[in-house]
Amino acid sequence: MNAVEVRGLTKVFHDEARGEIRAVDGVDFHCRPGEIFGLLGANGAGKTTTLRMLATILTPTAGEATVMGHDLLRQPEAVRRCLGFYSASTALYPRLTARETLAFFARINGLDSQLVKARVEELVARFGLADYADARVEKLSQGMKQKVSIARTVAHDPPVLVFDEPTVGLDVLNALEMQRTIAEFRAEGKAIIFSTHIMSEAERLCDRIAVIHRGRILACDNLAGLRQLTGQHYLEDIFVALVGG
Amino acid sequence: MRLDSSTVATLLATELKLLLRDRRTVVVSIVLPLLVMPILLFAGRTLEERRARRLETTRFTYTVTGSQAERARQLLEAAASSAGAPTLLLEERDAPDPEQALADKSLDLWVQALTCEELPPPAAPARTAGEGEGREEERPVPGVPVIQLVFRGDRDRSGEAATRVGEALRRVREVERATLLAEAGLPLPAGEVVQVEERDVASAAQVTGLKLGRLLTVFFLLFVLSGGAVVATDTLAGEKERGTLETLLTTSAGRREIIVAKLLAILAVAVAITLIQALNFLAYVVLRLIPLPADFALELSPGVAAAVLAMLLPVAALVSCLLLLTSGRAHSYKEAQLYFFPVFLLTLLPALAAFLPGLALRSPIALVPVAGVAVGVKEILTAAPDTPMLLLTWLVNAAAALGLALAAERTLSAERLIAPAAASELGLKGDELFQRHALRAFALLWALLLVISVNFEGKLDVRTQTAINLLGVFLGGTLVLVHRYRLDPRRALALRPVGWPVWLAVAVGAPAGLITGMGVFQLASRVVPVPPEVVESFSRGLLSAELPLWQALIFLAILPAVCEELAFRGLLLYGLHRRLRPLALVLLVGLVFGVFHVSLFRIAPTAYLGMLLTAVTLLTGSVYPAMAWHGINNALVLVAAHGEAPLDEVPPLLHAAAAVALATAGYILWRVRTPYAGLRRRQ
Amino acid sequence: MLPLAEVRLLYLREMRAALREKNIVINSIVIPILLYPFMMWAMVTGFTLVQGQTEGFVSRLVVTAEGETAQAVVRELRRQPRLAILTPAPADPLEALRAGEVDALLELAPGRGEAAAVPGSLSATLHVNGSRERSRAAQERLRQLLHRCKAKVLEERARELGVEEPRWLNFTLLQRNLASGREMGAFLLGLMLPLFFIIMVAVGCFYPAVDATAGERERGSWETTLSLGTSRLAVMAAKYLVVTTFGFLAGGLNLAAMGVSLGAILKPLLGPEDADLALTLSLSAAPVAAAAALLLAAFVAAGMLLLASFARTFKEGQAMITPFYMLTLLPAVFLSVPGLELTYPLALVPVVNVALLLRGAIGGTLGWGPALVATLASLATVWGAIRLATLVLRFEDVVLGSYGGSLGRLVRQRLLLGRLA
Repeated sequence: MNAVEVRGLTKVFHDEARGEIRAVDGVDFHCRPGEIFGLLGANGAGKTTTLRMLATILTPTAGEATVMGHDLLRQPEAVRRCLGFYSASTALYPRLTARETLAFFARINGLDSQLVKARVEELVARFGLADYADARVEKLSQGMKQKVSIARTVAHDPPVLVFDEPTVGLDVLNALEMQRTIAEFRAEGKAIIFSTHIMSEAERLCDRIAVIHRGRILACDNLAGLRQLTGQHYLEDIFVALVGG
Repeated sequence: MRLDSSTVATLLATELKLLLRDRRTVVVSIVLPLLVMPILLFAGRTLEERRARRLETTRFTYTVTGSQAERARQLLEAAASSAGAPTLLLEERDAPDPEQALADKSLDLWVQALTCEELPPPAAPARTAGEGEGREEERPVPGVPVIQLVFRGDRDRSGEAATRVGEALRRVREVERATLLAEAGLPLPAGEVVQVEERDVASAAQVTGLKLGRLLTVFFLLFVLSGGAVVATDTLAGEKERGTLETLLTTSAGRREIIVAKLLAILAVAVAITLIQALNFLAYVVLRLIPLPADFALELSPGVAAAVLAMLLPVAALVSCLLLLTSGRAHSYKEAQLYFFPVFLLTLLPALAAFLPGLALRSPIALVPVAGVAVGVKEILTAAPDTPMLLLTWLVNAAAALGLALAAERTLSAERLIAPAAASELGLKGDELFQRHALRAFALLWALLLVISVNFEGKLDVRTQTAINLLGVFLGGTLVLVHRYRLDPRRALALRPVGWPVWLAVAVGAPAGLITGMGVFQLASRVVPVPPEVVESFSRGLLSAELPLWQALIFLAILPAVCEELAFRGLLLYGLHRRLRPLALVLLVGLVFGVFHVSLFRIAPTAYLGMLLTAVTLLTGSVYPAMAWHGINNALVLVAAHGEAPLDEVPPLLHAAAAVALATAGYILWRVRTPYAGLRRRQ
Repeated sequence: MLPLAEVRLLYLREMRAALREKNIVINSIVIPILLYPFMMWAMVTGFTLVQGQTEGFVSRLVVTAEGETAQAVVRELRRQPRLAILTPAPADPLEALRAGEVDALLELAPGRGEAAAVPGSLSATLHVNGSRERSRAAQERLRQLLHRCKAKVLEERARELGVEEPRWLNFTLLQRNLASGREMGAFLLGLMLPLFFIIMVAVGCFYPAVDATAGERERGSWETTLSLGTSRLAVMAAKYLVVTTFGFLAGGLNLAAMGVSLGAILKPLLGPEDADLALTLSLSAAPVAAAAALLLAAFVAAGMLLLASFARTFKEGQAMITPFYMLTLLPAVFLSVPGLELTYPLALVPVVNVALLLRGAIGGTLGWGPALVATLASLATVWGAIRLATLVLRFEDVVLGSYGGSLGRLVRQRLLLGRLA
């Protein structure tokens, strides 16, 4: 069974002066448990909009999608309960401590309140937060914040994880750490949707890659398939060949 | 949809925790005002008391001149030494040039004591010392000496001297008259011939209730607003800015739960602040830092207190919802702050309804949010509650709060706010740019009009002023804007011919619209009562222009019809037509048109006319029918005023007929409609 | 020495940026021009509305009259357009009065006791309902009516008892104000304007000060600015000049707007005897007003910029400035008291001295001595604030924005303790 199913997802924005803008235009894809599915595209290609629709932050104009069998439009809460969403723009509450943050997100995502405490300790241990678990988030360094952020994304142990350009603004070590963590999640059997505009990252991490451009998916396959389709070897060349830049 | 209470509880607890940890904000926006307010009150009172004491011990200097100087000195001596009156310390000075002495502050008062004949005729109408309200001006009588108190009103001491000496002299006269009567043989003291006794059927508590009731809602709102705004800005706009709102939206908490939790947080803080402020005040009253009026006798039975609280609660909820909505509509903390000031004014204004004398809750005011509660609270406190109307107004406010809460919930899904699509003005061409700037441009025109009317009102001939307003501001402004944004005049001003049935509809509709407009005016004046002087002065303004009818028709009917229509139904409508749905367009353009007719009391009827005209333009896609309608409307008013036909005393039957005629005109326009191009439709 | 050319360049850049910031334009330019005229207009409209309504009420009266004088009073009463005697009278007038259906009950009878023997004597009992505005209006009208009747009765008694008219009239009391309409207008403006002026200068400095420091840090352009090839002193001097400019602009624009519109706005409140009241600012006050605006803006800008330079976010900046802002406004309370003039002791109090300088200039009562002292005192405070700022700017972490505390903490920890140690 697919953890995530997306069919014909479309998003049209209305601009007061310019009229309609089709940010996402009939996107189809799916993602299985234990798989990393990559959305590769330039800035403004529609990656973030697609993922935001998947996280039910935005309402699709057309199309449908299910997450663990829950319909995007009809059961948004259930969808969000089995989904962890991470992006550079999902910030943390600066005035909560790391522990409070994790407890808050576990509880708000419907984790049984008796289990919350144990889960928080588990996360603190797993992500090595013990030393600063009781300091306010605003006092933490960038790398520490990133760890807390990932921990809060999986606080309720969701089967589906969405990472929207997670390595933007991170240094090499932190970015590698992020990639390692994501790979670990795959090993645990989570379905992972991952968007990036960095080719090497997609190449290294993704089981299947969809190249998205101007709101449309131009191709969607594993690396070998994409190579075959375009006759190019490196992902950068594949991308350019598809986009027609 | 059900509300998950445990989610709400978790959210609320976090929300309050976050607020309390923001120590600086708490101190600056909540604690500081708590301290400053009493300090201000105390300092103000101390200063006022010191001033009173200083005046009490001030020795006013004066000089006496004139043929009756001896009599004046006698009177002044009696005035200074009269028992039972406030002390008045006087000192006579020699002043060869009293006028100069008054100017250089060496003298406070110049007493001219003359015979009636010596009194020079006043060059300009005399200005009294300011407290002459309601007192009749005394007229010199031959054979009676005149005491003229000459002072300088631009000096605190001199003005005070004139007022106090004047009062004392009147008292002296009263006493001397009583003595005269007694000497002439009146068998009892003069004051007892006519005895007036006053009795108040209202208890002292009711009288206090009236005073308190007028202010209570305003103060309550002030506290709720000042406390609530701090939380509201942080809780939505602040979260948006920090990026935590998006995090929150990806959790499984429902939008409704999020909004309810935030609302409860605002409400909790607002209510807490109100309570703290109330206790604060109470403490200062008990410590006598703030004096209470002498006749203050508040009897707050638990029932009355509960009723007042019950009435104020939906208002607190309404305000919290409004603050949350405002915060939700803003992109950032800064932007939210910018909106709060207008929100403050907007909310406080209706609460002032309690100050309108004689406005009972049993009137349309019950349907106006906040205003109804303000009036209701006053009636509860004066022990005259009107239970069914109180229930009604409670429901109205609760419903308004609910509506705003739902609107606030929608801001969480508003894409414009969550995902700020690069909405820059870069690359927009004139046409598109104007669509964004239309309201701003009209705000500028409005300010211009206001400045002109404030500075030249009454100084210019009606014709000149109308010409400046219409040709200069409206027509000129329109042409400048069309030129500046390089708009196609034909499209932007809706210059398009229409078929003959439209003209028929206009001919029927315009008079009918005028009469129904009168009805609207009468309805509106029941909510915001119009002082009769205003109506009079307005119709006088129309008539006393002393224009012959044909000139009046040109300047007050044809010119406005052409110029105002081009501006409002032409350019403004064009600027807004893609942003709003037709109904919203009708309301907004109508309202803007109303606001342009500066005076408060003309807004309702002109806004109504503006809405009709906008509807006509939208249905016909042309500005010409609106021009004709507008012209006919104004011409009818002028002709009626000229013939002194009372337009405001239309019999009800005619109102009904007019409504039918208006509906007919609307139907014709609908049948032959050629709608305005490029309107937004329901998706 | 300050590199003036660089300061000028920086100043122009900052000004341009500030003028494109919505918050600053609204708070430092739009509000000073529109807010107070608008609020005064709203107040005056509201006041005339309430007044007009109260005057417009026809008071509904129930009157019982017994005796000749009482009938005369009733005749007089019927002549009044805004007093109406209800016919038929309600069965229980007191109950109707409580319910608000009647505004007053007036019982008129011949005088009792000794007074009964005096012709024309009257005893009146006026019942009102103090918890209703209409009844209070009726009370006021009837009071005046009865007062007039009383005077008339006594005058008649005097005539009948043979008191000659001149002796009875005794004297005619007149009052004459030597101050011209323009002088009265200047007096009233001098009472009101300094108050608004202080508030507006403070508001005008507020946002630019936060924006130039905390705002720039928040936007991330702070380091760009610091990495420019010019001294930090020049950067701060330019920012200081910008904030001062906005304070000056706000104060000046507010004065101008009020001067232009106040007369027209207040007109409905003035009676016919005040028709020649000229509520316009005289041009001769303009130079002093400009100097006052500059002095006050220079002081407020220095204080605000100093406090805000510790903030890292806009919100923090606002919170840090607010106490100073309120402190600046506190002296405003003093200004509402008439008769307060610029004296030597007051010339030494910051903010108050500038406000009184302005009041003196508007009212034309300014003495040279106190004015000079006030100017020198203001300059001294400005110098002190700038001196403190340069002292603070020596700390690198403050300039870079990595210092976590506020001005108070810095002064305590480093300046005071540092000196002592």
